[in-house]
Amino acid sequence: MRTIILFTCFALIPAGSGAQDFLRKLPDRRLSNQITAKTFRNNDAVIILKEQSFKVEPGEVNFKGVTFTGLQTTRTSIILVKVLTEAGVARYASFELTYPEYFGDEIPAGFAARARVQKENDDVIELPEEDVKVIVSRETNDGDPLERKVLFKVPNVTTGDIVQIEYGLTMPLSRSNSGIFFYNAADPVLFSNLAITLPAQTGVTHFSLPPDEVGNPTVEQLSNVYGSGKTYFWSLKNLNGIAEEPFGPPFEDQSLLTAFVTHSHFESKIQTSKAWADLAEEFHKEYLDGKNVSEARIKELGFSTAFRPTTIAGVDSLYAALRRSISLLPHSSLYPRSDDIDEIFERKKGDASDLAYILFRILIQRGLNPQCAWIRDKRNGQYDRQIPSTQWFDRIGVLVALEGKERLYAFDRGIPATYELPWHLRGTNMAVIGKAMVEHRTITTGGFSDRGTLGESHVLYLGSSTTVMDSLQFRTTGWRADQLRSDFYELENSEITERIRTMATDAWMKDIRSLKFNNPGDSTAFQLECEGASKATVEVLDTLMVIKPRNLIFRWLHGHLLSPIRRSHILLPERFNMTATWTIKTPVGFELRSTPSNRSLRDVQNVPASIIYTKSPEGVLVKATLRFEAIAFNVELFPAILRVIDTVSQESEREIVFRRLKR
Amino acid sequence: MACDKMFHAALLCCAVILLVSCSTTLLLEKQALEELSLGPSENSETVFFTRHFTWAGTKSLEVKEHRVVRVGSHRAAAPEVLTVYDGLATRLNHFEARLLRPDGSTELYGLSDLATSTLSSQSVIADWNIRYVPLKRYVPPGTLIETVSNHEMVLAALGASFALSDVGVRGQRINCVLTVPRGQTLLYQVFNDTVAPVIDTSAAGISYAFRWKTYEKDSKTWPFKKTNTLPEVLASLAGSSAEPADNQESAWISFGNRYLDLVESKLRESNKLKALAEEITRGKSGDLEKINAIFEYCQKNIRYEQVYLAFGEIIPNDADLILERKYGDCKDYSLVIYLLARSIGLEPRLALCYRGRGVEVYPQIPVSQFNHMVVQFEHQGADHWFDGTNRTGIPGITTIDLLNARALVLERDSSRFITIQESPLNRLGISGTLVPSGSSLKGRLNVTLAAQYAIDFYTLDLYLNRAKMIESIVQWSRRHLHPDIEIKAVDWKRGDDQFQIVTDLTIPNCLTAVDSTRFTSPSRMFPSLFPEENPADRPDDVYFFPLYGKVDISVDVLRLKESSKGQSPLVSFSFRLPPGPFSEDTRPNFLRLYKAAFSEFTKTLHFIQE
Repeated sequence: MRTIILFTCFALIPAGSGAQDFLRKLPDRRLSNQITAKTFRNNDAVIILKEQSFKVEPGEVNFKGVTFTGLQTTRTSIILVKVLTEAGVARYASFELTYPEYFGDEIPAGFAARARVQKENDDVIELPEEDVKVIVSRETNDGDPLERKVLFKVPNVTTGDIVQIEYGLTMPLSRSNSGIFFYNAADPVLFSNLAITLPAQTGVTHFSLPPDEVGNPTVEQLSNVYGSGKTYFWSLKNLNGIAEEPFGPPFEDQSLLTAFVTHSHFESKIQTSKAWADLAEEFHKEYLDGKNVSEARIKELGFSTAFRPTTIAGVDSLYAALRRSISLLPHSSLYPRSDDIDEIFERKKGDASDLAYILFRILIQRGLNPQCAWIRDKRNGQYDRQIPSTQWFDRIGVLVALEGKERLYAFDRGIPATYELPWHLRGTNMAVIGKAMVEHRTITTGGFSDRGTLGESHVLYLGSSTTVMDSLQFRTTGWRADQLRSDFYELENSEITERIRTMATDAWMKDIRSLKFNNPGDSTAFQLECEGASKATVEVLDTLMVIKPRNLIFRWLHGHLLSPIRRSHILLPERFNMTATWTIKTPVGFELRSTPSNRSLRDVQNVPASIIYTKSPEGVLVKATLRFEAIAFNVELFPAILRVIDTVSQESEREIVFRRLKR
Repeated sequence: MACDKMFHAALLCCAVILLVSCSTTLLLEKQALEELSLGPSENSETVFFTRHFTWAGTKSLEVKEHRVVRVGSHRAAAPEVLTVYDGLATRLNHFEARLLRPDGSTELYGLSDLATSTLSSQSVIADWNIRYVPLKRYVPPGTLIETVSNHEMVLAALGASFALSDVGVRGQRINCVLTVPRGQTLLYQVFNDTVAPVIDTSAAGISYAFRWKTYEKDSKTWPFKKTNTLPEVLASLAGSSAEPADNQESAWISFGNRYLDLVESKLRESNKLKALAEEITRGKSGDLEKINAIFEYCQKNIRYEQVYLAFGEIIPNDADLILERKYGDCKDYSLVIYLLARSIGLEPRLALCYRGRGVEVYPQIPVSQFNHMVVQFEHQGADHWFDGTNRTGIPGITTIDLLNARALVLERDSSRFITIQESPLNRLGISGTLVPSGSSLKGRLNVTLAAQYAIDFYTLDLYLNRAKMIESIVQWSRRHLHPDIEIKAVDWKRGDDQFQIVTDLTIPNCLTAVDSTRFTSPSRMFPSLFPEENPADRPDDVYFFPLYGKVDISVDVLRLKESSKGQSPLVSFSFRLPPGPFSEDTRPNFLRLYKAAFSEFTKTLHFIQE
């Protein structure tokens, strides 16, 4: 009970008010002394307490002498952490938080923060109030704040200290119908608490994942004063740290979580969204039943009034025209600017949902019956259909059924204008929005390949000197091509050329004589051709000439994955094949003396690899392949997978020996 | 590694606040703009650029920048906002912009149209902002965007600089104009170019105009190359007629005095500091021992943080505040060491330098080119350097990125440049025992990094947890020894002036087998000890040696024998290369030493399999 009251007090403290007691005591020394850099040697810090509170309650706001009453939302956060390394000090002793000012300076949000540090000798040092800098981080040209930033450095922190930071942020005239809260953090958490307080008579449903690990909340009635509601409180112990790792599942999929959704509101009895169907109905009304796209705009895209796509290819052409005419913004909101279509065309810029909406409307105008779907990039985790909330999603896509086929059109910088389903949507779920219904479906590949490729092919010529000339082709499709396309999206051609040139000189070439590459924005594959002096080494030993090929792709993958400790399972973007070949021409006056033995690796199920040497009168062909036939691998397989990649990389670079012909 | 980039930027534009000059700036005539329209290209391009420095006196410097950009046809070329920097030390006081679209329509923007966004973040808290104008409409290819901005360089006393890289990736019609009042003397010098100014005298003053027709960034990488190779103009106003403009030494003395004036209020000693210094040095006898103890105290008790409010990017914080908060940046560390040492009668000096190898500092002209501060202490005729940044330094020596750097030692009326000499104890040693396994060698190696080579590892050891430390050692081994080295187990130990790493490892593909003969070489075992490029290919572009220059290898290879002696061979190889920077005089010697070392490095060794 006391816990909850403390939250309430804290939540009402306005920004800049006088010093208050800390909400939580510093931890008992018997506990904190057990947390040492030796016992947690692979961690930068251990969070002793992570506490989150979310509260919606009635509040009053004074604006130009008039008092308004409405709901306000307060988020409170408490963290008590023992820092074990300087990286931990850097992470927890410097604080930054940005929050929006919805009403500018007229009705500002309320913010309060305090921090202290407990030294190993039990001295406690508090952050001076004046060290908390609340600055306007973004403002209009009239000086109205749009956003504020809170910054401070906790003084006198070193490894072994305990840092406590508490803050509360109150947003006036604000309410929320749903929320998702995660219990874990990047570092291990000993205690993780969550309290959600909603006004009286609010109908609420809460969900936790996994339900058996999170358990049920304790429920308390705060008080009987006007508007006071119930508090739901969860408390968990001993949670793993979830560090970001290459090819790791997203934090959102690994962390324990609780979400809530309200279905009726305090006092007004307004029905809020209670289920997916309600959310769909509201979304349709607010965002999808908006303005049509004018014929002039459709003409701008290159389509006449007679245009009526009756085939998937027809829709593809409309998609491509939109992609080529309007640039995609880097970030997307779920909510399309359906009333600003002309502005999107005029500025030639829009986000994924804006473009999806335009495609959706044009298809309707042309007599088709497309559907919109809420979609979530799986790099941010899967959504859970038990929890009806639009917060899960970051954009909309358009689902079209034609010719007995169905295709989801999504707008993403990573895919070419010639439509391709992005890898990060394949196999994931989408919520297809009807007028008053939602259908949860799995996004199928829609005929696109679900396998990526990554390949390099070299033809090496040895001259009389020790210079090796290389004629190289590099080609990739699927997730790696998507990554490169995203990286190149904002770059001008000269910058892309520069990057590719750097990649080629870092990986393969001492000196480039010619370099060609395609426009990855227009085709499924990214490919480049390059000729020049290779970095492959060649050495003359008596009557022998020894050449050692040099690969990029296996070394790159190994370097990308390499880590002494792996905590999470491996989750690849998609199945993919890697192939490197070298055609090594026999130098004039020499003959092939020997090649290493062929090698086939089947140490890890679903990760076959091989290195094959094929001799011919002209020379030798070295072909190294590595395939990932599955996308998920248990963390225990990590060392073995790393070993396979390393073996292919090293074995493919074994020396090929030529011998001088006897005269 | 921490390094104060903004300290550098801010130092370039120093001076104490004077009048804010809000002179009206005229945009180019429409006709002139149209003449610049050469038809759209794919890339956006700066087609006109002028930066005009105007001194009104020794403490007032205004910088007007006038730029015209032609928007390219590439999707990414159309801007959504126009941006301009506004900071405390570089204060924006005027802004105009005009868009001239291909259809002939124009849009005008002024200072009042600018919105603000801060650049402060969790890592740096500072009075730095980006001011921006959101553009009302799509900006089509071929549009000319003309901007004029005036900045007051609030701390102007330390000079001004202009480098062609300020223009962007490429540009045309580039001008740099320096104007001083009549009767004042301008010190200026051009580096990496032979361009001469057009000098014009008018009632407003004397102007020196430098012009370039075109510029394009050279992006070719070359590991030995000097970093700041672009044409650059450095300029400063002579402080008074008493300072002879043509005397380099006296000019830097003036510069030192001006910087000391700026920080004077921070240099006051106090009884509190004295008491602390006495406590820290209790039981220490010699001067060196005392300053070492002060250095160790600061390393242990002050963490590196950047809070740059109230000109903090140039001027240190108060020593009392630093000691109370127990955080600060390089200037703060240096100030505390300096004041504590002085309070007990020692005579250390603050020193300005540039942290980062490959950058040439030009002592020919007294303009700030620094991004770092350390403390210099002369003892028995030798210079000792104290660099508190990162909390992992070794008393008396600097980090590796200050090898042979020039440091301006600050002393009232006698500031001067001193070279930070490389420590004679620097050494990378590799020893151990390996056995053949197919084409690989496997075994245990001991890697020792001594003196300046060790400091980076001290930093990693302090900052990282065990898992991250192992990762760092593996990455370092792959970067500096062999790109495919496979490390099975690793341990490490920090000593007083050396860092030791013990690894169980495999070096792949370093043995060639032909019948019973095995070939190898130091370059096959540790190819990354030398750059892949050969400095002899571009000898004129060799400015420094970017890797470890003092190396000793001594590795026993078991189960092989030397053909003649029948004993297990010892792969033994050493080299000693100077780190640079090299001048025309010293470069030939480096190239000679390099060639000899590289020849030994690549020499094939023949062994017989037992």
